Amino acid sequence: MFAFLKARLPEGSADEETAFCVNLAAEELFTNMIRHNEGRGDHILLELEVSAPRVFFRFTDYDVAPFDPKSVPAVKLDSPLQERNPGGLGVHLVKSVVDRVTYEYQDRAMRVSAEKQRRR
Amino acid sequence: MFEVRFAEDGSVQLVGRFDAAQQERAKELLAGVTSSTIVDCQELAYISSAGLGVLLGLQKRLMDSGHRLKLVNLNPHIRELFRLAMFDAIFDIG
Repeated sequence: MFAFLKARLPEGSADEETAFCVNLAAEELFTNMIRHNEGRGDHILLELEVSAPRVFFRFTDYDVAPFDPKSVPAVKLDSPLQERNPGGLGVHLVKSVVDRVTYEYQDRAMRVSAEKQRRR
Repeated sequence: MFEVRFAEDGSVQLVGRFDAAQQERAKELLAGVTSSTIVDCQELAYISSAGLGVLLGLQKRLMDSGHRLKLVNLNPHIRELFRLAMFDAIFDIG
């Protein structure tokens, strides 16, 4: 997945942050799909669209049961160290580093899309 | 590529991409850290929540015995992730 993204994401200092954030969001959303989606699908489709104003990507996981991302407990960022755990941190980071995240479920396919505006 | 290097001065260097695929290996490599340690992130290009979780677990373990990690030379993107995760309240960041 990272090699796919690296080969296609824009390069240059203006896009350095975009590439970092897209890599992060893609990893977090992909690993969440693997962790939470229950079903028989054995592959996940990744689509990527790079245009002047934005980077858009979408994962589609086929033949899976519905999953409500809101069921993931929100991370408690202000807890004391001993009460902190990494659960929910990925979702929080994704929301923080991209401009939009969309979840869709239709015909037993779960689609998660994200969009990051490029710095001009 | 991800590496954990142990320097002669006792510091630890994280090198490369610390993603979910490296999580278990990193835990094993860092298991030997048992006292306050400087973690040099100069060559750390990327980290995700999986890597942050490993560092969090290590910090918790060290704090139980009165020790802690100090992270230095974070690149701006990783520094921002620590801020977003509010890890700057948990780690000493130099």
